[in-house]
Amino acid sequence: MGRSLTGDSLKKLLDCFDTDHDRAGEKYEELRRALIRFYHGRSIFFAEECADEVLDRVSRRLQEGVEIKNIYSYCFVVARLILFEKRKSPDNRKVPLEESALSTIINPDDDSAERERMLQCLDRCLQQLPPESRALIIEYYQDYKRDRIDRRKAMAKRLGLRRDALANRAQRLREKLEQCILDCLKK
Amino acid sequence: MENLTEEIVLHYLLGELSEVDQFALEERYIADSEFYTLLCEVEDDLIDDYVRGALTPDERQRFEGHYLPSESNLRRVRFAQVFLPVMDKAAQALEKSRPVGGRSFWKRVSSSMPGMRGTIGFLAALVSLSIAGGGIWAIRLMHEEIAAARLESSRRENELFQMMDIEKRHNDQLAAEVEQLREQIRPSAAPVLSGVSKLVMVAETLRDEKALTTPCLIIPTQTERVQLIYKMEDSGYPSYRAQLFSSSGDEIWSSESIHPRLDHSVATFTITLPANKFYDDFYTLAVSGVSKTGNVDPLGKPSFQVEKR
Repeated sequence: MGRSLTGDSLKKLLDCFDTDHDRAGEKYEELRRALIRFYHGRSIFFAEECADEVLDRVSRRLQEGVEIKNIYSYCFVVARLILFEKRKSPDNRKVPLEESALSTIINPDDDSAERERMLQCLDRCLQQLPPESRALIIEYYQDYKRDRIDRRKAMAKRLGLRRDALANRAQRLREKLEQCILDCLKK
Repeated sequence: MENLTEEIVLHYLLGELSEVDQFALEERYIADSEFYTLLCEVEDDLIDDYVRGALTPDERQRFEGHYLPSESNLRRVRFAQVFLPVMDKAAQALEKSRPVGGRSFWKRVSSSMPGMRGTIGFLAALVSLSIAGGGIWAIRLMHEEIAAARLESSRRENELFQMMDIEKRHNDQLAAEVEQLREQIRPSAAPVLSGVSKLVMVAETLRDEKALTTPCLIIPTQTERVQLIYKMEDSGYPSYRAQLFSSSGDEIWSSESIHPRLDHSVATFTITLPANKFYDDFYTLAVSGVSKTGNVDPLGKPSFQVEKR
């Protein structure tokens, strides 16, 4: 959780999300993910640090006695403020990506050595998943367009999950694999 | 998920909304976790459609012009370029391994991948994964696949009989352990063996419906040590974390790296602690699975009561 949050300030912040501590923690993490996504979408460097800065500032306001009725709206206002600050900062001037970086995406065969390493890492990472998770992610990401929509509806029904709960599960598995590959490539 | 909402999200991802509309959408997904899930799904599907060549030329141009030129988005697309062909091959292999008059896709997939051991479907998936990557396992696994295919029908029948025996023994073992658990919660039966009091706790997913939800551990005065034995379904994690808390939330004990004993699909670990660490109180054992990447997933929080006599 937020790096500079003390025990008391964290508790005050979590109380804004939910009275149940476990549920509050989950909602905190969901909000943090959404804030990181917000900054990525706005091409802001160090998106995770910006998300933590939002939560630190909101927590400080709570410590100062500010009454926050809607924690999400308040966090968004702070997030926008930080966005504007970052845009003005010389450290965040948008640097164009190198042509080579883009071309390896558009023409993937140009970089087969890197691709081979990623495949080996993916193989290892897939084997670390429990079998049910592996099966879920294989089925979830098949097909295109209408077939994909129908397949996912059928999966949710079969597994007894809400449609968004299934989507959430698949997304978290995909993110886990993505991070696992990144970690593997660093070794 | 509504088509109109997905269209708007798509426009957002492709940079086609005004600043005001962008902020409105962003505020919504920050406040609404279901909408955030929708956004992530539309984004993943957009990336996947791009990688699979399923975008129209116009969509492709917009995607490459706006979405792609970003470090984090490039990373995601690069991942999808590796991930999707592997998933597609694995899905095709599993479809081909379907027996005649077969089961649902889910049952086929989950039964073809029991733990890390191979059935023909899992071997076929491994072969496909390796072929897709041109990896170092390709030749070896192809030989295994051919040999496995020849033996499949007779081995499958033997496997089924063996599985039936194993399940029966497993069920008998669990029934005996549940009975032992019931014995322990009867106040008159305080299990003390050489100064050790034991409590067997069984995870909810394994528990007999008739078992009381809060077991009681009786600790007579001469007891030197307490053994807490926890049984759960093996979730496939390389290690587990466990913490023991009193009712006031104080941590009595913890371990960051537990490797339980595995007996088929049941994982068991034992915690031995001095008896003087316990008082008349309720305690909670928080058990989590720890993945290889360090992610910690809560698995269960069984509680028990202690009576000292």
